[in-house]
Amino acid sequence: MAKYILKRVLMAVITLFIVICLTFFLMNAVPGSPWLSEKTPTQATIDALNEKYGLDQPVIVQLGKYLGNMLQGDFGDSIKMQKDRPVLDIITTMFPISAKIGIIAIVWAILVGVPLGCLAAYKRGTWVDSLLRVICTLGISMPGFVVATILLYLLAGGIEGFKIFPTIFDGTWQSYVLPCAALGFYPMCYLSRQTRTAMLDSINQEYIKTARAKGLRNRKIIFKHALRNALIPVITYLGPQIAFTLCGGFVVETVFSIPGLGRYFVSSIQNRDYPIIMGTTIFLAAFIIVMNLVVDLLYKLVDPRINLSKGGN
Amino acid sequence: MEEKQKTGKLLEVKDLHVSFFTPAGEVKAVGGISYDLDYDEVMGIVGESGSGKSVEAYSIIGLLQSPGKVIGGSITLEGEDVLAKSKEEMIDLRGNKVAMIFQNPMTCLNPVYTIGNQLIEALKAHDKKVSKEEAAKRAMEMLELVGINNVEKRMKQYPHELSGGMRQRVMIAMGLICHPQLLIADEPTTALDVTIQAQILELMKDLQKKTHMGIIFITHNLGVVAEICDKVSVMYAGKMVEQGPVDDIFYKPGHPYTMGLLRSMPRVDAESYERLIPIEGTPVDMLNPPEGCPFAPRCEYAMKICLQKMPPYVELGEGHRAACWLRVQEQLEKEKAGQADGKPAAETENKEAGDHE
Ligand SMILES: Nc1ncnc2c1ncn2[C@@H]1O[C@H](COP(=O)(O)OP(=O)(O)OP(=O)(O)O)[C@@H](O)[C@H]1O
Ligand code: SF4
Ligand SMILES: [Mg+2]
Repeated sequence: MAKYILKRVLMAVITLFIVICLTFFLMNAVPGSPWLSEKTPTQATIDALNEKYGLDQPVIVQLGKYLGNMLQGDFGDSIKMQKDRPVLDIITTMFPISAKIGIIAIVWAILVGVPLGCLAAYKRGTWVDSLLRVICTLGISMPGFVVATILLYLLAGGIEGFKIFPTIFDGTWQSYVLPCAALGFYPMCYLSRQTRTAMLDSINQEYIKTARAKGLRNRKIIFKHALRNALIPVITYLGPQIAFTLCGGFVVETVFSIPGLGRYFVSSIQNRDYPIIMGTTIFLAAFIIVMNLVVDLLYKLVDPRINLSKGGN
Repeated sequence: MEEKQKTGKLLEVKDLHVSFFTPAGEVKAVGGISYDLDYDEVMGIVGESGSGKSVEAYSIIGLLQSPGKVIGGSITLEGEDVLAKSKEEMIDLRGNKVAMIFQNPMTCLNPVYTIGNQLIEALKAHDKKVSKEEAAKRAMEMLELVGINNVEKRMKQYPHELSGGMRQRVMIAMGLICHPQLLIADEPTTALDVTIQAQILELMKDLQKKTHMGIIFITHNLGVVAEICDKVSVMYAGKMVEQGPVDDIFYKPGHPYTMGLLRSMPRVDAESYERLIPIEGTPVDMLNPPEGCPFAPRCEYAMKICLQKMPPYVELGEGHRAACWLRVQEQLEKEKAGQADGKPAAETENKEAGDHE
């Protein structure tokens, strides 16, 4: 077990290194510069700025320097969006907002999606199943901003005299409701479909026949014997999805004006704020890697056949 | 183990009909079979794949999956009408009075729960008051009874940590934990290799002697039947074509299909160069069964009448009957000869097998 985790950590470090290098080169290969805005500064000013931030040196040298600083815990300062504020500081204030909304979203998605999936499987072929299929297919195929806009329209003033929730995020609990609902809708629908498929698969397994032959009641057969097995494929999907949702849906954060990391990340790319791009990328990559590791460990908890120490995935 | 010796019939199945109502039409998986089983008796059901052995067994325990339905006949267990029972009553019956074990021990245990968990659960399903410790103790006793050692460790293990033979032993322990009167074993040894097969058979024989339960042993291996059964029912295309004590079936088979089965059976004492003779032809299309004797298309003795009418059962000896026109003919000839000799005619029970016109 310890050996397995060590191996995974080593792999993670290598992955991170590759991500860093790739991002660094790609970021520099994209045309444009941090200093270009409505009033283009003079060439002399640009040169001076480039020199100040070390952007005049060859990319490989810059990368070396960046890696060196990073190992000492220094992710640099913002060069444009919040000039000279440490990147680490920016991430640690912005991520919690995204994460909070993300956690609420993913939790409700799981709590609703999995039982709905069970229900659909149990009632397969009935109108309940069909209704759920329609809802979930819609939820999976609708882009995030459509869901967010519909919610805004229905519950935040689109209908005359009917405004329960604020349109703009202000930190109150009411302002959490719509973003969380919008962000969790897609994973909820997806989970529900996945659970349904997995449940139908496990209901047809022979051990279910054994459970019935033992004289167990339906509830026990479904929730004890079928669900636990059905969760195995569902968990696979959950890992990346949790990371993705927690790091903030860019769309949802934009629609509701949430000062979260997702939105900030995208505007840092637009602004070519190189240190912020780098810092955020590393953070997100590390986060996704950690989530995947957590999921693999969770796997082991649900499925005793998985033997981590033998290097199986 | 408590002794249960009761008199009277344990199970009586009369003219059972089971059909699957599929989009393509009605599949008459079981078309009128009858038999009875005493306590302490082991009956084998043999027949090739698709002949309706499992379907017939599932009907007894109420495990028929839709679109399967019992559409006629009766099943009486210890004097109670099984088909009239409610869903709740069937749940109480399953695993309690009647237990079932299946073919593939690899897939029949839930991979994510320990052996102990699954055994205790089987007991608790029917004995709500039993304490955790008591249940665990009973489970371990059962494991010991089926010849598993190191039971404390086994209780905590998962199915994938046990061998196939061991898992089948666990399945048997699970089946017997509530002391059922009737055990239905659906090809319990088919998926195991030969030496393990022999061990499991030995175990089942042993347990049967200890518990006096009745066993229905489904298999398509006549060798297994010879090993463990008192009597045999031979099924073909949903019909029971021959039925009788093991010795009669082996030494005086009355139905050409049974004879074919015997010829196609590998024998331990046979010379290695002796050829096994497979039964020619393909199994019956159950959606459109032929009229008359279902075996006719493959039968080397088929006569005109075979294609037109289902043969009636002919009594061939004590508890031995077969549904074949050849035997009817013989009977008639014997009767004629008997009358000429002035002896009373042989008793004939001309019951229709299968579909009643
Ligand atoms: N779910 C189902 N839907 C439709 N027909 C079915 C279904 N289950 C069984 N049948 C029909 O019932 C017939 C008997 O099946 P059964 O499983 O009893 O055969 P079996 O004798 O147990 O064969 P095997 O030796 O392969 O286990 C089959 O020919 C099949 O056509
Ligand atoms: S009834 Fe006719 S076809 Fe059927 S088994 Fe007997 S001889 Fe063969
Ligand atoms: Mg079968």
